[in-house]
Amino acid sequence: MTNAQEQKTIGTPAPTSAPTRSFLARLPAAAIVGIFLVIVIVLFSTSASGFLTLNNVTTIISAASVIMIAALGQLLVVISGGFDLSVGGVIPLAAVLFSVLTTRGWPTAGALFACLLVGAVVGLIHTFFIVYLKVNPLITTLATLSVTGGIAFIASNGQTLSVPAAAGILGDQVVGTLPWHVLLMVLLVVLMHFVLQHSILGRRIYMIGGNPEAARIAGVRVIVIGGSAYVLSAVFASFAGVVLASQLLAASGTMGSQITLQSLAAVVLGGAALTGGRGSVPGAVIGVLLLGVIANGMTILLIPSFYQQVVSGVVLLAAVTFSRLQERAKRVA
Amino acid sequence: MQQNPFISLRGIGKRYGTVEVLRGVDLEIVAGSCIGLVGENGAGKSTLLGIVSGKIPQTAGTIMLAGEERNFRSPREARAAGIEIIPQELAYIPHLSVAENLLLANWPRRRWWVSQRAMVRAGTAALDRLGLSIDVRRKMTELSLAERQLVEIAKALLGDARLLILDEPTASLHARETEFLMGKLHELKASGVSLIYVSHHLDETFEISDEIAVLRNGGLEDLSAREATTIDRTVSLMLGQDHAFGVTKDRPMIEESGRPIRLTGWNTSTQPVLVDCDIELRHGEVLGVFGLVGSGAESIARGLGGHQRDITGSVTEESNTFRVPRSPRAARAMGIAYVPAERKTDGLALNQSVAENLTVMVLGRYSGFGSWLRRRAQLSQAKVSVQNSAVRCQSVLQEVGELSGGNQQKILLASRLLAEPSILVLHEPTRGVDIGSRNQIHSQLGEYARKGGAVLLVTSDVQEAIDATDRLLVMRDGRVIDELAGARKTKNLALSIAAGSHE
Repeated sequence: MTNAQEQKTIGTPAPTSAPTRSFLARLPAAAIVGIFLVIVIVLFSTSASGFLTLNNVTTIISAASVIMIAALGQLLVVISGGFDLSVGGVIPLAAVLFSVLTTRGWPTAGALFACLLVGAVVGLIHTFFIVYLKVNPLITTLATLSVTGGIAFIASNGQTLSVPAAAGILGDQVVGTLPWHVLLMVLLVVLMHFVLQHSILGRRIYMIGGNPEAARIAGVRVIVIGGSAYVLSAVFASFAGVVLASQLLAASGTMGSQITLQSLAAVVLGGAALTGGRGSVPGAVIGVLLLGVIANGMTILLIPSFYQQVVSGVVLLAAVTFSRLQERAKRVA
Repeated sequence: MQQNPFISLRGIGKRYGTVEVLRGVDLEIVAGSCIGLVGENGAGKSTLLGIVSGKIPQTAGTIMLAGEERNFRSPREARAAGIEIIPQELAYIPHLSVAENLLLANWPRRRWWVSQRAMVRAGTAALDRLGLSIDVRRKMTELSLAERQLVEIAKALLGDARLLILDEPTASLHARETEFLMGKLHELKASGVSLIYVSHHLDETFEISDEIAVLRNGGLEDLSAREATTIDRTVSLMLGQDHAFGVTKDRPMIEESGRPIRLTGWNTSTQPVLVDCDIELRHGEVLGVFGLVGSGAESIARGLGGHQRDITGSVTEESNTFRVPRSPRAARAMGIAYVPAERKTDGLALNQSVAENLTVMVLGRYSGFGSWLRRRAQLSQAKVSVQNSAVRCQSVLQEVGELSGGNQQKILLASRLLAEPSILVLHEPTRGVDIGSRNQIHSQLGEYARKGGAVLLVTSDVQEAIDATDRLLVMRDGRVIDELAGARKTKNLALSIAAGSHE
C-alpha cells in the first residue's frame, strides 16, 4: 500500500526533524570552537600590538607543537573511550632520559629511540591494566603519572639537567624561523589525520570507542585496537618530551606536568567526547591553537599567567557546556 | 460469603493520542484473592499495571478503593493506599545490606546517625513476617535471585500492602525456587493480602490464582474462575480466534538433504540452565527455537555467538567437531555470525555512522595498500546494503542512533549478512520493531536460508516463532521439549508446550 511507496531509502532526505533543527545545532562541535578561535584572533589583532606578526605567529606555533604532539596521542585514547593522564609524567621521564643518554655520548637518534621504547612500555602497561583487566583508566593513568613523574625526579636527582647542544637539532631552525620540531609536528598531524580517517586501525578505534561490546561481538580484537591507542599515546608523549628537552637544551622532573590537562582540554575543545567514539585531528588542532592563542595574546597584553589559567578553564567549560546543550537540542528535534 | 472488593476498576481505558491501548477494563479484587493476568506482549498488561500502581494516569474509567473513588496521581499515592508493585526488573541497591534495602525509604535514625542495631531489628522483623530466615546484614548481591525476590516482597509488605502486584516474578528462578515463592504467596493470600499475578508461565498462574483475566488488544477478553477454565482455553483466548488455527504461510518445502549441523550435549548450570540439549540445524532452513524467558533458548543463541563462555558441548558440521565457541572471534572463525538480542548495548555503535556499523565485520575486505582503507569501496558497499535491506536513512554517513529501532535492527542484520556466514544465529531479532521492518527482516532470513545458509532464530515471541521459521523447537526448563513442523506448528501448541501444560 502507501506504506511501501513511502519507503524511502538513501538519497531522499527524510522529511522529519531536519528543518526544525537550528543552524547552530547542525554545526559540528569543532566548527564552533573554530569560529571562536577566529573571533579571539581578531580581538587580539586589534587590541594587542605585535600579535599578528610573522615572528609572533611562529612563536605561537612553536610553543604549541609539544602540546600538539601529546594531544595527538591523547586524542587516540579519548576516541577509543578512555583517557591518559600519564602524559604529564611520561614527558619529563623521556626528557630526563634523553638528557642522560645524550650526555653520556649516545647518538641523538639512539637516545630518541630509547625514549620512544620507554613510552611504548608505559603504553603496554596501560594496555594490560585498562584494556585487558578493565581497571578504570582514571585510576590507572593517575598511578602511572605518579610513577613515571617520580622516576623522572629520581633519575635527574631533582635537578635540572642539561642537554648537549648537538642533541638540540629538533629545536634548530630548518626553514626561515621554522624549527625542525614544528615540521615534524605538522607531519605527524597530517599522518594521524589519515590514520584516523583512512586506515583500518583508525576506523576500529572509533568503533571500539562507540561501543566496545558491540565491537567485540562483531569479532573486533578490542584488546589489540584499544592497546594500540594507549601505546601510541605514550609514544607520542615521550616524543613530546624529547622535543621539549631538545628545544630547551634542558630536562627536569617538573617540565611538561601541565601538558596532561592541556592536551585533554585541547582534545575536548576539538569536539572529542570522553564517552568515546568522537573526535578528530582537525578539531584537536583547533583546540590546541585556541589555548595557545589565548595564552600568547594575554602575555602580549601583559596579563599575568595566572589569569591565563583561569581564562583557559572558563573557555573549556564554556565549550563543553555548549556541545552538551547542542546535543540536547538535537535530541529534542 | 460475598466480601466487598478491596479494589475495583470500572471501565479503565488509556489512549495515547489516537491510539487506544486499553479500553473498558472492569476488574474486582476481593481481599485475600489472586487474579492471574495473562495476555500476549502488547495486549495492555503493562499499561493496566501502570494505572493500578499509579505510574500511568488512565484516560477513562475510575478506580474504587473500599467503595471510595480514588485516582492515583503518582506511585507514592498508590503506595500510601496499600498498593505495591514488584516489577520484573527488581529495583534494589546491590551493595547495601538486606536490612538497608528493606528500610530504604525510612532508615532508623538517632539524630544524624543511622542506627544499625534498630535497622537489623526492623529488617529481621520484616523478614519474619514472610517466615524467611535470611541474615539481614548480608549484602543483596550475596543472595540468590529467589531470595532477592522475596526480600523485595518483604519490603513491599513493610508498607502495609493490601494489594501486591507481581510482574513475571519467576522469570529468573529455578523450579525449586519458584515452588518456594509459590508457597509464600499462598501464605500471603491466607493472611488477607490480594495479589495480581502476571506471568507467561500459565501453569504457575493457574496454581496461584482464583480468577484468570485474559487481556487481548487492550480489552478484557475473558474473566473466569480458575475452576471454570483451562490453560488451553486461555491460550486460545489470548491469541484470539483469528490466530487460533493459523498455520504457517506457505513456504517451499525444504530438502531433507540439507547439510546438517549438530549441536550435541549442551549443558550449563548458570541461569537459565541447559540440560543435555541436542539440536540439529540444516543448511537451507530457518530453524526456530522458541521458549519463554528463562527456558534456556537464549543460552543456545548466546553460546553459538561466543557470547556466553560457561556452556559445555560441541558443534559438528560434516566431519569437523568444535567446542562451543568461547569468544565471538572463535564463533566467527567457525563461520557463525550472531545477532545479539540487545541491539543498543551489544549490537551497534550508536554514535558511529551507518556505513561503519554495516561494515564492522568485513572491514578487512577494504584494506588496500599498507592497510589503508579503500573508503570508496566501503561506502559503496554500505549503500548497496542499505538498498538491499530497505534501510531508511538520509545518508550512509548518518549516525545510527538517529534512526528508528526498525532501521537499526535492519542495519544490525545487514552487517551480519555481509560477512556471508555459514550459520546465522539471531536472538530476538525483531524486539521493539515496527511491523514493516519485522516482515522485511523475516523475509530476509528466509532468502538467506534459500541461498544455502543455516539460520537459527531464537525467540520468545510466539508469532515470530511461527511466521519466520521452517521448523520449530520448543524449549522449557533447559530442555528441548518438542519439535513442531507442518500442521503441528501452531501458536496454540507452541505456547502451551512452552508454558508447561502439555507433556
